[in-house]
Amino acid sequence: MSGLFTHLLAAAETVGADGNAISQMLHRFGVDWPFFIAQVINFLIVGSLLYFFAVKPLSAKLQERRDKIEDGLRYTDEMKQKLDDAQKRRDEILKEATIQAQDVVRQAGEQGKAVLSQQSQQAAEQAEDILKKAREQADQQYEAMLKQVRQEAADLVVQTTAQLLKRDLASDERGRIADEAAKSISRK
Amino acid sequence: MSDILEQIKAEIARVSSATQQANVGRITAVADGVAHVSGLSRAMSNEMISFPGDVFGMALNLEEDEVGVVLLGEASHLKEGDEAKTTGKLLSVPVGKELLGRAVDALGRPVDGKGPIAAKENYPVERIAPGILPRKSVDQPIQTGIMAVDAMIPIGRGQRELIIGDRSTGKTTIATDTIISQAAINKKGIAGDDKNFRPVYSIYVAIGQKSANIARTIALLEAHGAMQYTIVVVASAADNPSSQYIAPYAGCAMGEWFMRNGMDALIVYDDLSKHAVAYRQISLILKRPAGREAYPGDVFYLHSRLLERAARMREQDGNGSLTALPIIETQAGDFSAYIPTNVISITDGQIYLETDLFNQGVRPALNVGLSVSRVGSSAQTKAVKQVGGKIKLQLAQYRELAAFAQFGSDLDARTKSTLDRGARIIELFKQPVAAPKPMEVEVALLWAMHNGHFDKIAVKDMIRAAASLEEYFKSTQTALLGKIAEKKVLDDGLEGELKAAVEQWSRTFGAE
Amino acid sequence: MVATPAIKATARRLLALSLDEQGAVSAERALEVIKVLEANPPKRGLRVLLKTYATYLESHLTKTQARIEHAGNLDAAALQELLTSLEQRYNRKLEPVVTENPALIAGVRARVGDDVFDNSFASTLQTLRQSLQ
Repeated sequence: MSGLFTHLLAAAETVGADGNAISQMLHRFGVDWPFFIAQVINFLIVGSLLYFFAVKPLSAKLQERRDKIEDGLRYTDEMKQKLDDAQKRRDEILKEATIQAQDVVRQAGEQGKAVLSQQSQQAAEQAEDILKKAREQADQQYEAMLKQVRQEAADLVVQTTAQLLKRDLASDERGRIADEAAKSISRK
Repeated sequence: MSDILEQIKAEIARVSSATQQANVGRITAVADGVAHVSGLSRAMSNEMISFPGDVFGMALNLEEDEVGVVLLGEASHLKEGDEAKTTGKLLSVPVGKELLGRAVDALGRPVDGKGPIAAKENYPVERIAPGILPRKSVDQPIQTGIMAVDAMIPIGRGQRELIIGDRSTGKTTIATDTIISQAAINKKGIAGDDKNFRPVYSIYVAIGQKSANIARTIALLEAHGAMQYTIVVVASAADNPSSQYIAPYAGCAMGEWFMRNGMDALIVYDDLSKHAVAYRQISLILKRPAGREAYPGDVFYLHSRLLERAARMREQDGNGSLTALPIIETQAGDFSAYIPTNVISITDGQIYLETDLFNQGVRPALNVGLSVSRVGSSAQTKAVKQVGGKIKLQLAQYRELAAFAQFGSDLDARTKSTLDRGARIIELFKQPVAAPKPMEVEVALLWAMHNGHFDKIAVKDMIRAAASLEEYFKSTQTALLGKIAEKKVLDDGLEGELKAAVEQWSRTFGAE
Repeated sequence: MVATPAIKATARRLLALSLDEQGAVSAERALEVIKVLEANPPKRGLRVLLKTYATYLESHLTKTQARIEHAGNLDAAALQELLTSLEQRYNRKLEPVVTENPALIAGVRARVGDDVFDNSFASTLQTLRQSLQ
C-alpha cells in the first residue's frame, strides 16, 4: 500500500514538473503533502499494530480451532476402529471362553466319574476288607477252639496212658523195659 | 474234629523211645527276672534254658559254679530248688514273610490274637554282623515322605540314621511316617509293572513303651494300610527287662531274614534309651560292675553289635539291605549324655528334633544345623538333589541372619530376600502327621520354592499355597509327576513343563 | 546274705579238706571239718558258708556218683553194663546209687554230675505232651 502511495507521489512530482495542472488539482482536493505523509505514517503504525496484536493471534486461534476439529475427527475415526477391534476380540474371547468352559465341564465330568468309580471301588474294597476281617476273626476263633480241644485231648491221652501204664504194666514187662532202657543208655 | 485225632495219632506214631540227654541245674536264687542256677556245667552263652512250666531263659553269665539266666516271660512261679535244663538251642525267633502284619513279643510269639504264625524258619537272636567283604556302600534311597528329611538329610538303604530328641518332639512320628511312606510306595510299585521294583518291609520294635502308645501306633499303621508290610515287635513297659533287652535283637533277626534273602527291610528301634536302661537293670541284678551312669561296661557293645547288623549287601550276597532307624530320647536337649553320644558315634548320622521348634509349630521340629546324614547323599534321588541341594544352605543362612535381624530394622535388600526365602522354606517344610509326600511331589514343590515361585505369596499363606500347589499337581498334572517319577532327574524339558505348570497355578492361586 | 567270693573260696578249701586220697568225699573228713567249724565259727556268715559248703559237697558227690533211678526190676547185668559205659564215658570210677522211682512208670534215668540220661515212659509221655501242644 505504502509502495503504491510513494509511486503515486513520485508520479505526481514528475507530472508537477512539466505542468501545474496536477498539483493544482491536488491542492484543490486538499492534499497537503506533509500532512499526507504524517497520515500515511500513522496509518502504517496503526496497521502494523493491528496486524501484530489482532490479526496474528486471531489467525493463530483460528488455526488452532481448525486443528482441534481435525484431531477430533481423526480421534473419532480411531475410536470407531478400536471399537470394531474390541468387538471382534470380545467375540473371540467369548468363543474361547465357551470352549474352555466346555473343556472344564468335560474334565470335571471325567474327574467326577473317576472319583465316583474310585470311591465305589474303595467302598467295595472296604467292604471286602471288613468281610475278610470278619472271616479271619471267625477263623481265628475256630482255630483257637480247635487248639484248645487238641490240647485237652492231648492231655487226656497222656494222662490216660500214664494211668493205664502205671496200673496195668506187668512187673516182668517193667523189668524188661528197664533192662532195655539201661542198654539203650549204655549204647548212647 | 477228626483231623485233630489224626494229628494226635500221627504224633503218637512219631514218638520214639530214644534216650534223652540233658544238662541240668538247680535254681539257687531267683529275683527280678533273673535266676541264678547252679550246675548247668555245659550251658553255652546265650543258650536257651528251660524251666518248669514252659518258661524259658537265656544264659547270660557263665561263672565257675553258677549260671546267671535272664527269664523271658512270666516266671513268678519259679522258686529256689527248681530244676533247669539246657536245650542245646541258641535263643531264636521265627522269621519270614508270614510275620508281616502281625504283632509279636520278644520271642516271636503272637500278641495280637490273630492266631498262630506259620513261620518256616527260625533265626538266632544274636548273630555276628556281616563283615566287610559282603557289604556295599549305600546307593539307593529310602523315601521317608517327609520333605525336610528327604531334601536335606537323605537316608539310603542300609544306612543307620539316629532319630534323637526330647520327649514328645515327634521322634516316633518320623519313624511311623517313614513306614507309612514305604507302604504307599510298595503298594504302588507292586501294582505297577516295574520288574526291578524292590519293596521295603518294615519292622517296628517298641521297647519299654506304654501299651496304649503301642496300640495307637499299630492302629495308625493299620489305618494307613501299612500294617500288611510291617512286623511289630512289642516289649512294653509292663514286660520284664529281659524281654525289653531281647526285643531289638529279635526284631533285627526278623529284618536280617529279609536282608539275607535279597530283600530290603527297614527297622525302627523305639527307643534305645529304654533298651539301655533295661540292660542296666539286668546287669545290676547279675552283679556286673557298674560304670558311668551305672551302665555296665559293655553298654557301647550292646548297641554297636545291634546297629552293625544293619547293612547293604553286594550283588553276590543277595543285594539285600537292612536300614536301621534307632531312636534315642534325650533329657532336656542334652545329647552329650552317655547313651546319646554312644549311639551318635555308631550311626551314620542323626535327625535332631528340638522342643523349641516343636512348640513354635515347626513340625517336624527338625534342627537343620545339628542334623546330618553321613552317607545318604550318595543315595539321594538325583531330582531331589538338584532342587533340594541349595535349600539346606539357604535355611542355614536364614537361621544365622534371623538371629541378627531381631535387633535391627534397616536391612539391605539381599538380607531381606534371604530372610523372606528362609521363612517360606520353613513354612514349606511343615507337614502334618501320617501324610508322606511322594518323591515327585516333593521335587515339584522344592522346584517351585527354589525358582522363587512362592516369593510373591505372604508367609502366612505359605502352608495353604503349598497344599494348593500339591493338590493342583496331583489333580491336573499327573502326567508330569509320572514323568518325574520315571526319569528321577530334572532335564530342561521337564523344567520347562514344571515352569508352565507352576505359572498356571500361580495365576489361579492369586485369583482366589 | 549271699555268698561273697571270700566265702566261696573258704567253702572250696573246706571241700578240698573233706576229700580222701582218691578225690572222693569222705564222710569222716567232712564230719571233722564241720566239728572244727563248730568249735571255731567265723565272725559272720556261718550259715551261708555252711550252705555253700553243702552245695559244693553235693555237686562234688554227683560228679563221683552214678545216680540211677528205675521203675520195675533192673537186671544186675544190665545195671553193670550201664555203669561200665558211664565210667568209660566219664573216664573215672563212679559209685552207683540205685533207687527205685515209680514216677518213671517204666524205664531208667541215670545222672552223673549235671548230665541226665533219661529213657523212661514218663519222659516219653512228657515229650509227647509237648509235641501235641
